[in-house]
Amino acid sequence: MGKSAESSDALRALRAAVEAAKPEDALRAGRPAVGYFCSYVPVELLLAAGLSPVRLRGLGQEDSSSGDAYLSHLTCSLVRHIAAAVLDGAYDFLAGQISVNTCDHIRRGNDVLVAKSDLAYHGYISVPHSLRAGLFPWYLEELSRLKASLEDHFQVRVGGEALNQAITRMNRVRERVQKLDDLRQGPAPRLAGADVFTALVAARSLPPERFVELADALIAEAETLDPIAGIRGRVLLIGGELDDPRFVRTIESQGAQVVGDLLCFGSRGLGRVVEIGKDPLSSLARAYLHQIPCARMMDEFPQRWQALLDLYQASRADGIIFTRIKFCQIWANEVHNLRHRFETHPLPMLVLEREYGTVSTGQVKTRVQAFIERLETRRND
Amino acid sequence: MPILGRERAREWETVWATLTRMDSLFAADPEGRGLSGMLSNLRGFLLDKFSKSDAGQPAVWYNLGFNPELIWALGVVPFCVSELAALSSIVGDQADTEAFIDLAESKGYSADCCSADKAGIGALLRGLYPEPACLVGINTPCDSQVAVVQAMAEQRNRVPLFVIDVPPYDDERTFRQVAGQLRELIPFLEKHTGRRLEWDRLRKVCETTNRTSQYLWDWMEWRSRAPTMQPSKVAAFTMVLMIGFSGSRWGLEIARALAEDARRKVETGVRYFQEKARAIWYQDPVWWDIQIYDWMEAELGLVIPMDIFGYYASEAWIDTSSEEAMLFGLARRMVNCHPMSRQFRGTMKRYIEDFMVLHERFQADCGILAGHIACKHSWGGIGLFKEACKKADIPLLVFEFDMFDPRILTYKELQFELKRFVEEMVLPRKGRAKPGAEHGRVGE
Repeated sequence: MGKSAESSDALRALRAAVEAAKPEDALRAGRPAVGYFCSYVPVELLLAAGLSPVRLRGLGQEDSSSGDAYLSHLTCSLVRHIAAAVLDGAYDFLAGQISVNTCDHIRRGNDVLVAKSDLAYHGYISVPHSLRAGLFPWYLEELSRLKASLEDHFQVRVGGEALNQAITRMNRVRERVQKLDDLRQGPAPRLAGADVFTALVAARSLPPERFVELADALIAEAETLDPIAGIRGRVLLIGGELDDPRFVRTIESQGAQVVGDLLCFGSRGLGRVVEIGKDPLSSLARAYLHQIPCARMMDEFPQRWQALLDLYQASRADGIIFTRIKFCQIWANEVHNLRHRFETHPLPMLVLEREYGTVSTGQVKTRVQAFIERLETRRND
Repeated sequence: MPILGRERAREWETVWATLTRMDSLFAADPEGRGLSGMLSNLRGFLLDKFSKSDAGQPAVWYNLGFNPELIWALGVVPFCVSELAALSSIVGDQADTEAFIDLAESKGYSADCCSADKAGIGALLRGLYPEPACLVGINTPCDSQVAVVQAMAEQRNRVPLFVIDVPPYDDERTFRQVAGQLRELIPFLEKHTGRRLEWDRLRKVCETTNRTSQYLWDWMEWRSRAPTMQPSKVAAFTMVLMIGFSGSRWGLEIARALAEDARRKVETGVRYFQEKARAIWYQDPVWWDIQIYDWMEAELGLVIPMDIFGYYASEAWIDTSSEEAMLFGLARRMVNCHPMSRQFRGTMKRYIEDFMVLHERFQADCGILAGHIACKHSWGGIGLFKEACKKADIPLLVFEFDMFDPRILTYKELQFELKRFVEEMVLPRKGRAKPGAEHGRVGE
């Protein structure tokens, strides 16, 4: 039997970072940790302010009751879990949080955190719902205001040099993300999609240098691994919020290989390096606003569609698994839009709705199994 | 029934036939003048659309959070994508609205989204609107709008789309930001409709809007009197007016009819039921059967003097002294006055404050949060809203339903919820607080 990634210390460390109740590496650095909600918050801004950015997640919180009480059962279960984690004290290490008008759910999650949590700092940015050039100055101004607010609250000065250094640090992360992406996309992948996804989720809470160290080790080890055997179908994972590698593992347990993703916690938000220049805040604004767009960007479905087609081709995918958390409306209609495109450009797609924090293993397995059989039949026809 | 001598799609003809029948019914009744005024101007509005469309004038499609003054000023035909769905529910055949919803869902449109938009997309899929020259999409009041604009654009993916992004704040900077986008929108509309905007014409449209605003404020004033003499079922119509009619003479006449009817009813002082309790209806009206408001009045003595869709805030006035001032005024009105957009797009603070203002101003005894299941912004704020009501000692009924789809909560289930709340919570409390505090004279 050949060598698999299971023996990798780096992968174990990345998994531990994803599953940890607290971002120990970030906290060990001794800098105040600030949570953030969305991939449109430039973490470089936080790094330059001497803070440890931590992407808000459910932190393994099984019970979202305290979040449910404020947000109701009709709200996204990720936001409910985050609210519960904050209100129940699981995020007691945070010095503050930054919210975005990404969606109605996050806006209301922010309302609850502002009204009911003990967090000392609440930042907020309004991100335009379109990439039209005329809207760029607004986003830039929002980032500038966020910077001023961070400087004021944390009594720091965020200069251009510090921003460029932070961009450099995060670009190293982005380069590793691209390498990891390449490793799962190749004709004979050596890393499971779940393992790459684990690394991508870990990148959202680890200090950049620690992530780079672990990613480099994993990438080096991957070269020595045997190609994964028994792949029955190569799939892309697309959709809204997903931070649970167990879900990816369950999909892959049926013979699928996740060869790429366009997910918020995946490579979508970390895929492209940021330009270093004289005006680093503008560079950040441009790079973040023009990442592969989230479904909240109202005139950008054609760009998402093109990104999907490009990735589909580059990764030699056989099909698409679309996933979203129940009640998420902005991602909900991606299915309508995709199906409309499939009328003239058919691609096989499986839609899986989820609740945050649980993996309906049996149900997912059954549906993925049927999908994989469909892909095999299609390939053999 | 043909419209302008031509056969139309069955759904439009059904709406038209019902409107015509109701209008003649209410026109013959002195007590129905207000409703008749609304219905006859709604007919005029539809006739104008059909006439312009028949003449080949360009159409512009948009979604719920947009106000059409700029489109009227260009002399082209505005179509809100949810328009026929709403008309079918309120004055047509509710089964048509449900069929639109089912069609949209069958094409992958998510059940989690708003039924107003689902039904709008269903109507669009059925080909019931004239083809657009271009599309205007706005992100307010909610995520469902973000979704429906993309579906609309995808269904007509060769038709140019202009997105208006409204930030979640309610300050001058936000108004300026939106005004700047309206400025950008003008050449877009001109290019795709082939019309040129005349600023004097926009000024006239804005003046019409200002006169409409004055009527709506008067209307609210008359409705705030206790007892409220005008039926509860018209409390929500400000929103319809703003989305479809804003800046048009039909909108002006509807507002005038509403205000004059409310005044006349107060001055006459005749009601046909005893007002026992007053509620602020927050969130969405029951548009799949507005007769339920009659039932509430007759059976429970429950009156809705105002609801969130009817509330017309004070930031509506448009300064017409310059181009910039007009665009600023239109922007401010659209983001801070348009019911829903005002309350839903920002923080819960505004949402709760508006409720408290309405509760006091309209002398309400309680609140009813009719929780349209797609309204994630209100469900997401439910805990804070309940706490605020508890702190203010305001009895509150909360239930899940869908404003365009009775399959979520039926008429009987809704009756049960309302009856239990009024009889077991509101009236006993009210009786304890102030015996005999009932308003109104019966059948005088």
